[in-house]
Amino acid sequence: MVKWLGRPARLASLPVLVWFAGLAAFALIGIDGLFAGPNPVFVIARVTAYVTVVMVAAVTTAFAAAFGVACAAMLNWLGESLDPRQIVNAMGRSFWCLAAYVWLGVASLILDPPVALTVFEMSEPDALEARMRETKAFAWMGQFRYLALVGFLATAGWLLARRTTPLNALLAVLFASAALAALLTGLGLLAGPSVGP
Amino acid sequence: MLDTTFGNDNWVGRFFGAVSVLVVGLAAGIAIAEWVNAMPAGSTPPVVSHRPPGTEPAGWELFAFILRRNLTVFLMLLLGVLSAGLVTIVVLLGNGLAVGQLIGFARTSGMSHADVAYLLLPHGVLELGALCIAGAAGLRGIGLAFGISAFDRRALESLRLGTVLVFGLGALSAAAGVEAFVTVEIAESLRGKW
Repeated sequence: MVKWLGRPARLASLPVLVWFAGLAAFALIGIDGLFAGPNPVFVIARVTAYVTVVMVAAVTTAFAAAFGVACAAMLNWLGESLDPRQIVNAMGRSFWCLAAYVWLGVASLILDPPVALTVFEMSEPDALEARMRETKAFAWMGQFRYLALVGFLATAGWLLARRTTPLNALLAVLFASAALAALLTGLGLLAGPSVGP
Repeated sequence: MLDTTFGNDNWVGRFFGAVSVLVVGLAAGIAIAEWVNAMPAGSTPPVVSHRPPGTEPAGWELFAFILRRNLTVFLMLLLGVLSAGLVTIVVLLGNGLAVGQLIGFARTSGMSHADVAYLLLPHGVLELGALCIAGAAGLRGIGLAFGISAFDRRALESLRLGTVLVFGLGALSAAAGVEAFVTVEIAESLRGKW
């Protein structure tokens, strides 16, 4: 697919790959740090956490694609005639912000690795949350996630503005943000709390 | 291209593709359960439920909980349309892994194949069948990604999202009904057997 789309798509896929590599490194260091040991309890926890990270990565790319489709729909409605490949290019290159955010997280995890949970802490319902709050890298990632998101939106808007009028690009990004927020809220409400009734 | 369900859209092929991905996940889940079971147990904490006794969800409350969860997975599978099938493959593999681990741990704890089948098949066939239909729709994203420069209303119509959503809601409601009202009874009858 990348070959078919040509050089712009290869340029667009590079930041996505850098982001994914960062996410993989973050997951490896974080998960292996928290659930260290040969005990079967940790093995199950590691497998579950790895699967969750892969799901998060896939869903993030899908949400970025949904954001791109919403941008394209709005630009089309505003009378702009953009090639879909230009939208793919803008979305892909906006991943540089997410890549930087994740790699800074990797650096902070290397500087301050998490303390492994003990096998007895694993049976405590709040032990994992407490340990994540205590680890500076996880707390840092939590605090700055909105900054990374704003960076992504701003980069996408700036890249679209190079192909359209700045006002139309701004409107497209605002519409797509609202559409994505509605999608995320809808899915969150549908899924409900993580614990059964 | 849109003439028949079995036309060039290749719904059947994509459905079996989705089933194959799910089966790979199931096999991996069972293998992981057996691998974990073969490990030396070491010191493990006692498994305690943090839910007060007698407050387990049941009846319509359980039905609504199961239906909401399954509908979320169903919609996530459809996100493959937007991600070149990536989300669909990952979610199908993840669900296969989860069900496979469940089957594997049930077997290694001494539950017979027949009892596992009684607990999973009545609702599982409908539930996983509906998820594979959504998976087939999500895998359409692979073809759409290759033809992104020609993406138009016709490509969108070929997804038959309306039909898939109506079918999914119906099938998952039936599956949640069976799970909440039939599987629970079967589980009660099996309590203490192993």
